[in-house]
Amino acid sequence: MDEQGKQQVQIRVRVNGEEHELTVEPRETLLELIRNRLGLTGTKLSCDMEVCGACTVLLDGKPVSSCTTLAFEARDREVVTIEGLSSHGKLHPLQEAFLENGGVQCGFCTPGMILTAKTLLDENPDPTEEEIKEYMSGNLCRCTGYKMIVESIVAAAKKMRGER
Amino acid sequence: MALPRFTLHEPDSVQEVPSLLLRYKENGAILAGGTELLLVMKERVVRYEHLINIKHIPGLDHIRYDEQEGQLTIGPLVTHRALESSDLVREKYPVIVEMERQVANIRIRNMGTIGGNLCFAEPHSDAGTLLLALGARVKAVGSEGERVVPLEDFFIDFYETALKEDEILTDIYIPRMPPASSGAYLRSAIAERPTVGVAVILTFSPRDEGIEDAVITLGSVNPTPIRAPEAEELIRGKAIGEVLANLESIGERAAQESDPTGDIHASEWYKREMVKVMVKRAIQEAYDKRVRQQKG
Repeated sequence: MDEQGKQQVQIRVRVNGEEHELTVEPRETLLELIRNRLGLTGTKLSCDMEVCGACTVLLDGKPVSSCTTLAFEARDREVVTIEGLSSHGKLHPLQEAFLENGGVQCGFCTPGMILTAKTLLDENPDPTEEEIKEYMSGNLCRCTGYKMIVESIVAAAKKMRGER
Repeated sequence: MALPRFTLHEPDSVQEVPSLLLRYKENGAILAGGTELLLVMKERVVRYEHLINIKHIPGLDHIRYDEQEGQLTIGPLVTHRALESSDLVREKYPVIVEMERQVANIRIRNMGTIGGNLCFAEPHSDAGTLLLALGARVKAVGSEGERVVPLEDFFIDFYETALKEDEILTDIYIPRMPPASSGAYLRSAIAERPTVGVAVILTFSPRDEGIEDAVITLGSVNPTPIRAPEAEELIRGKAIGEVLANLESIGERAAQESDPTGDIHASEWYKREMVKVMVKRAIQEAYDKRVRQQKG
């Protein structure tokens, strides 16, 4: 408890490879932790009810809705946000593919799309279009009509398999 | 929207949970995946000042099959995604994998648990409908001891189960699929939740001339998942050809057995119509699967 009688939870969490020691209230969401405490604003607050996917982060490698995940649940775990995908300024093949194939318009859904696509390709390096659409069906986009997003993922998958 | 403030409790064992529930009564709730609970808390539909996080309690996330008993035992903390991805479940109960693949979206499936889903008892859910058709039972542990409740007695009303104030669900038991059987789970849905859900389990006679048994459950139309016994009677003991020629009447009968209310998902008329359509399709699909099974 702190001086005001509010319960506090001490957590250690690794975000994009970097360890953080934080004190959070139980009610704080992972999204609030990421955006407000760590200043990582690539992850977006959108529907706030787990249906749109704009708040997607990877928790121990699995996509979750950070808007409806409590911050303390990330204790001793690994969080990856979109900022964690590029390495020393070099873009991840998915990021490159989205840029090259028109998969980004306003960019609001893009972080969630890319992180979810990453786990798809981790699990299934050569997915069919049907498999891509099914896996990505929980990520909404209001701009692209989805076609270019699917094409971006197909292109990234090809690159990541080492094919030309 | 920010969540209202609550006090977090993190017991290490099942034994600690009933006394916590008794202490906080309607001010306390169990927190598993939080995919349904945290939403209603955000919306201020419910107010819990105490949340009991059970995710640190060991022994609640198992998926076990006992060949002798012919029984699948699932812990309440098993996520939808874990069931969806389980080789064991796919081998023994492919219809469970079929249902889990349709639940919500991948993020909700990664966090949401089967136990939480059953205990929250939201009618517009998928698992209860299928598990009812599979003859599932659940074990509840409270301060007075433990008991096993068949799922048909577990769902009382929307958002209401037979769990007592101080009970936690610790196991879900699913009996062996009958030999020569196949099942299908279909839903009509616009968004994450089903508007209508239907499960059909058909048991075929040894040489596939007829259908020995049929179980049809309807979900999301009544306050709880229900059986459709009159529709089942139109299938039980009949020749396959006769059933397939009669799908319209069977679907229609099932639709009449449901008691839907118009709501944000759909009108009463549309829900009844979807019951009919989904029942017809599910019977056809269960049969088609049997044919594929037999072809090897």
